[in-house]
Amino acid sequence: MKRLTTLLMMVAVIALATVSCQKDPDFDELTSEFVTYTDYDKSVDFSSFSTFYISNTIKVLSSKVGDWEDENAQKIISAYANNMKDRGYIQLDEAEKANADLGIQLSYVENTYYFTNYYSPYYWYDWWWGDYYWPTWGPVYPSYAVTYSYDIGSLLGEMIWIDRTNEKLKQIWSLCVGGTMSGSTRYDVQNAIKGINQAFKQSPYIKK
Amino acid sequence: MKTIYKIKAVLALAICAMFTMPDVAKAQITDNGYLDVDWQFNIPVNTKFADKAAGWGMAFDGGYYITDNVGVGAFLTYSTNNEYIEKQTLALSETSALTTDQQHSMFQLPFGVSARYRFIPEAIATPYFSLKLGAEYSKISTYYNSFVSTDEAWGFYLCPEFGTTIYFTSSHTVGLHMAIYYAYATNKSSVMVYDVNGLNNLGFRLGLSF
Repeated sequence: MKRLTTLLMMVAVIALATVSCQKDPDFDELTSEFVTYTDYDKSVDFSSFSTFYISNTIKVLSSKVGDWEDENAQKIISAYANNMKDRGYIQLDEAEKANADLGIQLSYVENTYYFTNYYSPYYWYDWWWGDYYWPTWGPVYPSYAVTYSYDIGSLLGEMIWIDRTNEKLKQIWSLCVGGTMSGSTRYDVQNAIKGINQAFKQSPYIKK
Repeated sequence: MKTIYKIKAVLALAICAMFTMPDVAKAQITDNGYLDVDWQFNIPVNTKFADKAAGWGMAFDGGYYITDNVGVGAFLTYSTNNEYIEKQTLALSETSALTTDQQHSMFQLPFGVSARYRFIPEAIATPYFSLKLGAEYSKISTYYNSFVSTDEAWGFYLCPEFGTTIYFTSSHTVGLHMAIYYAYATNKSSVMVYDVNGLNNLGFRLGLSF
């Protein structure tokens, strides 16, 4: 009986100590800056392009596609456009977008979800295909595997090569700036802009 | 903070056991049984992941002396090592890059059988050498913003240990236990751009021996 009691005591002590025994790191030590992820098609010569058009709205992706076009959205779009101009590309306006070498769309994901290897961002049809410039070219596709992990507050950016020779829309660069939202729109917008600047910084191959 | 409470709870239980169950403890000695309950300070060596030393761990080693000098038994230990990584740009592949700061975390939980040889069985201070063999479960994680990448692995575990128990009384009912150890596990893991191929650890254990 004494041995059984002793054994039970040992088991109780060990069980108490080992339940949830992993020590979490100090998450407060992490900065609140968004994570910046980029990927690109290495077969593309980015210096071969001259002009780009960037949509003046940010697509909001949730259960349905919406538009974000207020002052904060324009700050984020301008940050992207300014980086492109700094790299030597010429920005075309709405009236000239049919002549652009590159088309750029920013989007913001509200909800958490995951998918990989997608080949046809459906929201492109909304503003690009909806204008019927290239109605028969087939879907937008990247030549590299695209894997996104969408979390609350993810800003995505797709750069599309409008390949007139082969009549294809080809995704050649993508960025994802994401993380936990602070609750302060001003701070989150600044954080998003910082993320876009970082995306270009870590992508020196984007250069005219 | 939770872990601190748990360590305190375990030590409190051990101390309660020491004072409220002297007959049981005495019975263990009479039966040549032993149990070491220790706080563990672990130092990963050249693992290239969460290499920062930390005292977030415990060790349990219990067994039976089949002769005056030789004991065999079983063990279970666990430890966590965390390390903050400054913001940097990581090349995830030939074409993709990720910029972020990180918290690396490595959790190790080996268990198995142990054997020990004590040099002076009747002394108040009884030094010993032990060898532990078994399996190790490990989990390495990198936390960045609100994301986490994790990999779990199993491997073979080997741990030579040198220690001593300094008994408080001549009846060897309970004593202070101290040990230093080296441990190697064959676990292989990979998260993001980090590859861990084998786990080397040094450390010490401090606690009570019953």
